[in-house]
Amino acid sequence: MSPTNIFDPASTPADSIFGLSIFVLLNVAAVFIVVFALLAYVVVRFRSKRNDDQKEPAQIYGSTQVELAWTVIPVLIVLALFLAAARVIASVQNPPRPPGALEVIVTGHQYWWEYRYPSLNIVTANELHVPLSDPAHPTPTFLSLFSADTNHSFWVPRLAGKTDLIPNHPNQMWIDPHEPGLFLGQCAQYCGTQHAKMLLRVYVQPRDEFDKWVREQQQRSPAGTLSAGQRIFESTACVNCHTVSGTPAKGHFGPDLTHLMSRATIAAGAAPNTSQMLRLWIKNPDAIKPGSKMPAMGLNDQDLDAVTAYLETLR
Amino acid sequence: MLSSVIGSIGTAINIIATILCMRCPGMTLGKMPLLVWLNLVMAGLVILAVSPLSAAQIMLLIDRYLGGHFFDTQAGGSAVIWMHFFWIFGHPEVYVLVLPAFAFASEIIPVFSRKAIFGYPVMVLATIAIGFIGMSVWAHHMFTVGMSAGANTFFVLSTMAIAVPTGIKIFNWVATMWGGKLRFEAPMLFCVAFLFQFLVAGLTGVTLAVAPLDWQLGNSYYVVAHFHYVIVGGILFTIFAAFYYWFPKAIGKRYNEALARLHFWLFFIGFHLTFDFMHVPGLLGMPRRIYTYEPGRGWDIWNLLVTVGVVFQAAGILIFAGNLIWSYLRGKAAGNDPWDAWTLEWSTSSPPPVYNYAAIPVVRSRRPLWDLKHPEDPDWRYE
Amino acid sequence: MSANTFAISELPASRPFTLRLHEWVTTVDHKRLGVLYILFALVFLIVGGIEATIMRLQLVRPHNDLVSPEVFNRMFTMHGTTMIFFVAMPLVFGFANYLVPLMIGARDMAFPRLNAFSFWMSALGGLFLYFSFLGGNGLYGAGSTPDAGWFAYAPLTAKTFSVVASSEY
Repeated sequence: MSPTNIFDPASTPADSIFGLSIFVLLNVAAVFIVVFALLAYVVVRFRSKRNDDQKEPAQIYGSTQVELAWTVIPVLIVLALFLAAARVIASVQNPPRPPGALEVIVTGHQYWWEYRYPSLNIVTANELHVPLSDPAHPTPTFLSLFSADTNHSFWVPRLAGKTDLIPNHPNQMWIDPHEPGLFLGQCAQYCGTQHAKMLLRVYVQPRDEFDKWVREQQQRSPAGTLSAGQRIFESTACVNCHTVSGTPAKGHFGPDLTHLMSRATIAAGAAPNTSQMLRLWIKNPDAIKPGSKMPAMGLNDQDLDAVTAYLETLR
Repeated sequence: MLSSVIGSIGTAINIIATILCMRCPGMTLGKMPLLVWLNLVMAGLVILAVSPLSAAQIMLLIDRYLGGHFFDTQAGGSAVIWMHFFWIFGHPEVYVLVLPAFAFASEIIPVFSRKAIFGYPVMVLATIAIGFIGMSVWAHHMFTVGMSAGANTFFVLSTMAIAVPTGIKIFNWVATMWGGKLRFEAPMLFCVAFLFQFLVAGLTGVTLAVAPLDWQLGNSYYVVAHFHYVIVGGILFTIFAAFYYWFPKAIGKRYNEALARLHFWLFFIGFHLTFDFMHVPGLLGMPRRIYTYEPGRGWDIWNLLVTVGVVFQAAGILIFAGNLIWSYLRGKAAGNDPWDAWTLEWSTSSPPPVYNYAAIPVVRSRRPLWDLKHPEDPDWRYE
Repeated sequence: MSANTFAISELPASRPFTLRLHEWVTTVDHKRLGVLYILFALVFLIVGGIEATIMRLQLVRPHNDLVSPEVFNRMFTMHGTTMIFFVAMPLVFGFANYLVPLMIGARDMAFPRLNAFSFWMSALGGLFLYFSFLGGNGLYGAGSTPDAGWFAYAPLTAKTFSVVASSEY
């Protein structure tokens, strides 16, 4: 069973679309069967016979009734599909916003996702955590979509249809997941060389687990003596792009690394978050995601080990 | 790109002027072959649609080299405006490509069914309707861009509306075949496949016209499958039909029928292997324009099947090219009218002389050669 | 209406190749221009087909490494642009050119020289776009062909994000 199957919805907008798709597919299948049957019949029934008398068949130039019939019926079908579509457009584009709704500001970058939870004071990247929504007391998550550079598109099929992230053109979408778990997706608007590896991971968590995650994300880094790795991190170009809250690193070009180790993957899903992959990413990002905006840092092996060890303390 | 755009507009102007001003005596607009009608509307669409594209390209050049900010979002420009300009061109462009495909089907199907086209006036009206409505549907390529519910709803309606005249055309072609005596040489094989494939392509288009479905399926391999179904399964198949139908006229020699049928079956199998199965990864969440993809999403087997189809299509095209070359060098003489057809081009020699007709013909109906061949029952009695 | 049964060329049957080539290059006859459009399109059909085949071979299995992402992105951009502008449109114009005057009983198009000019402008456009394969990284890196998709969405095609000259082609 594919984890990105549009016919396996787990959230209200995806459910509405799924219901509509069944109605549309039934109509379309009916039309197909009728016309295909006619075509197949004609091809078999009217083929010219071998012992044909070579006379031309009766020439029929048209028939007003027939033309009327096959105009009116398609118009009715089109009307039905249109009305069904209009209903779902209205319900998805003008949703109610209950008091429990969570807001996340999503900013698309080449080639990673930035997530800010303004009401919770959290900044994270690439792996989105949202609370499970109970149909009786819905707690949907509203995503405000921005872009720092080119066009992107947020598509997690089991949760909702896609909406584009367009620079200078804020958009909004919402999800209302009623099944816990990990939901996969990826960027769906060509945004440059590594469009293919701008993956999405959305964790839908029951309330208590989500609150626990929030608390962990809200913690600041503990102050203390600087490790060798931290010293290298803070004195190299790393701080130009990355933020680690509570330290001098305040760059915004790349993902926030404050709670890097709370994530299962790095480079927007391009590699698992293991020691080996982290080290490789810093040493030679092109080995994992050629064309990403992370430069090879040119560190020697000793420094690489130290920085990796430091990053692994960022829980 | 700007260079070839100038070429397109020049040709369109030429086509319109020729059709409006140079028809032979007796050929009123209502007596032109459908191919001529379809090319007239196509040329009109070229002129209307290509200008926005050129404008956008020039604005992009200004942005890139003269400090403009039309589309430069970092300086307040709009990415969405580029999309509007592009798709105001892009959608009518596909009608520019498909109307000639309809033209070929409208000429070939009657001849190989031995019947006049069913519903000529309706076919003309449907063509004009497609031309008009086709200018109003462009933003169905932008359903995920964040337009208002009202705007999205309008474009659903206009896109659905165009399905009606298009469907009417399919029904008229089938009705032409109904009660006829069908001959299945290569041109007709390709046209019958076109009917079946264009039906499917149109229906997947209807599913995409439903904006909420497009929110899931837009920019995925379902869309890629849909438009290749139209362009390859619809347009390219009728182009092959047209090649085989008019090759004897243009070259004066018959093509090899056995090779043509081999071409048809190889290409048909390859087309379906590739483009039928291509819908599935889209339904399973695979976006387009990705150079690689993750395992474990259920996409692997479908991508493999899609790639296998390429082999058959390539083989078909090679046979086609071989057939053209072989027939050009060694084909048997074709004569003026190898298909027993009814439009004017079959009255002159194969290939036609440089001046086409020694004396300009005078016509009295839509099928001048039918009138000549059937003086006891001419078309002009019924039109 | 008389039947035209003669089509012999007025010129001697065997002419030097250069003379024939000159006839074709300078022709304003709608039939010859139609054939030129169609031959042009067939050549680009093969090229576009090769671009498609490269893409399909890359996608035959996940995490394949037949071509780099840069080359793949150039492939899908060129495949789309080629097939629409240098295959489908020339085929459409080629058939229209050939058939429309014949089917309305005319001797040629209304503006034969404009017709020839239009063909050569289209051909120039194709050559110019494919010239881009020779720029940038050179042939195996697919040069500096455009890589922003055939719809060339801004702002990806703006100078900030597409520094190489590819979008101009």
